Amino acid sequence: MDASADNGNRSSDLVGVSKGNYASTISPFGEIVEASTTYLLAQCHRLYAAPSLGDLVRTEEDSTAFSVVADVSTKSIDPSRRPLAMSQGEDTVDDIYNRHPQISRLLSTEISLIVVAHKADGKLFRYLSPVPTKIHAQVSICQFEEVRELTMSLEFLSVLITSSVGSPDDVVAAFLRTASVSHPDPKKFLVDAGKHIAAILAGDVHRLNALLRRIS
Amino acid sequence: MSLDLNSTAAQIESMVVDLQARQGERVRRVESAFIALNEFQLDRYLDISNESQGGRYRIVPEILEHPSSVYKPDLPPGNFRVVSSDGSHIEVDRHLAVRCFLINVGVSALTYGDYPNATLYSVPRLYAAQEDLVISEIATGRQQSIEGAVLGAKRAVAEVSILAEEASGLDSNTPSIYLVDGSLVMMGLVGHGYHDFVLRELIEDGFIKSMNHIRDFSENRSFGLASYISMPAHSDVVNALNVTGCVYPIKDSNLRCDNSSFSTNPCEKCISGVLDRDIFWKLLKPGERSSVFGVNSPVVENHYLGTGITFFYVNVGTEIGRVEMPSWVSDNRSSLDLVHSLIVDQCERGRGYPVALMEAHEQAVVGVSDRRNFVQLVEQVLHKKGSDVYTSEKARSKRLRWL
Repeated sequence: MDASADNGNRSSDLVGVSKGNYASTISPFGEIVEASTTYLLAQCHRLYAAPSLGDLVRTEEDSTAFSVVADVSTKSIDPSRRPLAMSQGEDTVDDIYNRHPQISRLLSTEISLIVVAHKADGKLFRYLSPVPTKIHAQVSICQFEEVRELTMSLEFLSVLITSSVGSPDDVVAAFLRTASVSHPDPKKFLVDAGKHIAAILAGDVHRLNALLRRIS
Repeated sequence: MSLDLNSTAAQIESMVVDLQARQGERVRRVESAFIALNEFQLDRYLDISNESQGGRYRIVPEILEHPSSVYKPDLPPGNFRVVSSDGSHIEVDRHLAVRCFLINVGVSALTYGDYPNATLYSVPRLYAAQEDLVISEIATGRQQSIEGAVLGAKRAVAEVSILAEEASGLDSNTPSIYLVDGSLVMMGLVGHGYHDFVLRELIEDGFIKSMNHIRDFSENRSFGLASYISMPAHSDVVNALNVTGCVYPIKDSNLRCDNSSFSTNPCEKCISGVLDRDIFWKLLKPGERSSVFGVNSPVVENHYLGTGITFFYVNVGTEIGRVEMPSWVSDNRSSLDLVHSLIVDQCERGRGYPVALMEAHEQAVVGVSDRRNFVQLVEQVLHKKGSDVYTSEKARSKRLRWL
C-alpha cells in the first residue's frame, strides 16, 4: 500500500459521504480488537482513516451492534517503541512519512466505541446486546438512514452521558450535531435532544448548560 | 535473588580505574597506527604477502590500493529500494518435552522516492522432524546435530535465502540493495572441527547458493548485496600495518605484542590492540568510505566457490561501520557506489544504523515472553493431541520458584 496514501485523513476518505459524516454505502474501515458488552476498541485498516468523534458505527456479524465513536487515538503498535521527533527544518508531515515509509506500518489508529444499541432479526433495540461483538468483526460507518432510524428515540443518551470513555460531553454534542442532519428538521431534533439531556442532568445545572451550549 | 549490584559496582569501579590508567598508551598507539596508515608502503606489503602465501599471515587482508584512500558517497538515486533480513532463533532445549528448534526471519523492504512504501514481515519456521534436526552425509551415514554454531550458521543461510526470494520477485529496475546484519564470512564454523559435509551443506549449498541466486537475479540491474557491522571489532587493516611497520621480525611480533590490552609496551611504535575503526574514525569524514579490502580466510578460500568477500569501512556520522560484500559487488564500481551511497543514506534515516536492518530485526526478534509462550504452546498442543507432556525437574523448579 502506498505509504503516502496511508497518511490520508478523516472519514471522508473511508466511504462515500452523502450528508454530514454518514455514508451512502457500507465500507468497513476497521476491525474490532477488544470487546465487551459496553465498550469496543477497533483498529483502523488504514492509518488515520478513522471516523470522527461522535459518529455512529456498526459492527456486523450474527447481529448488528451500533456504537458511538468516543475517542480516536494513533500510537505505536509496539508499546515498547515510541515515535521520536523526526522533522528536519522545514519538513512537512508528508515529507517525514515519505522519507520514512516504514512509519505507516508501525503506527496504528484506534477508535474507542460506546455500544448504544443493537439489531437482531431485523428489529432495532436501543439498549445493549446480551453478548459482546466478536473480535475481528468488521466496523463500518453507519448509513444515513440508519442514523435517522436509531435517533428517532434518544433513550440511549444516558449511556453516552454517563460513560467514562473519552470526554462524554463532547461525544454527546458531536453525536447529536452530526445526527441532526439526518432528520428533516435538524433544529427540532436538537431541541428534543436538549430536553432529554435536561432530564438526565437535572441535578447538574453547570454541566447541563455547558452541554446545551455545545449542541446549540 | 537479583544481581548484587553493591558488590558488582565496586568491581566496575576498579575496572574503570584500570581502563583510565591505560588510556594514554591507547591514544598513543592509535596515533602511531594512523601515521602508519598514511605511510603504508603498499609494494612492501604485497611483497611480504606474496612471500607468506599459504603461510601463517592469513589474518591480514588483501590490499589492492593504498589503505588511506578515501571516497565520498554519491547522492542516492531518486527512486531506490533497500531490502533487509535478520534472524532470531529458539535453540533446541533438552528440558522441553519435544526436541525442536525455531528460526524466525524478519524482512523489511523499504521503497523510497516517488512511491514510498514499506513491507514488513516475519517468517517463523519450526524444525522438529528427525531429518530437520541434523545434517547428514548419506554416503557415510555421519550426522551433525543442528545446535550452537551450526544453528547460527543455518539461521544465516535462512536470512540470505529469504533475500534471494525477495530478489526473485523484483519486477522493476529500481536500484536496490540487499542487506544482512553481521559478517558475510561464516567464521562461527571455523575451528570447531566440523566435518566437510557440514560446511558444504551450510556454506556451499546454502549461503553461497543463495548469494549466487541474488547475483543471477540482479544481472543488468543497478543492484548490491552487502552486510553491515556496527562498531566492528576487527583489526585486519591494523594487522596489515603491523606486517610492514613492526620493528620485530614478523615471526616474533605476535608473541611480543599484547593484542588484548595496552598493558605491555614491546616497542615504541607498537600498534597492537588498536582496532580498524580507531584509525578510520580519524581518517574518514561523515559519509566517506575507505578503500576496498579483501578478506583472507581459509573458509572463504575453501568453501565460497570462487566468490571472494571484500569490505570497506564507512563513517556513518556517529560511528565507523564495516560493510562486507561478495566480490562480484565490489568488482562492479556502480554497485559498489550504490552500496556506499545507500548505506550512508540508511544510517542517516536510521539515526546511525541502517533503518531497514533495524526494522528487519524488530520483525525477527524473539523475546523472553515469546520464548515462554512458544514453550507453553508446544505443551498445549502436545496435551491436546494426547501426547505425554513432560519436562525436566530443573525446568519445572525454575517455573515454580517456590519458597
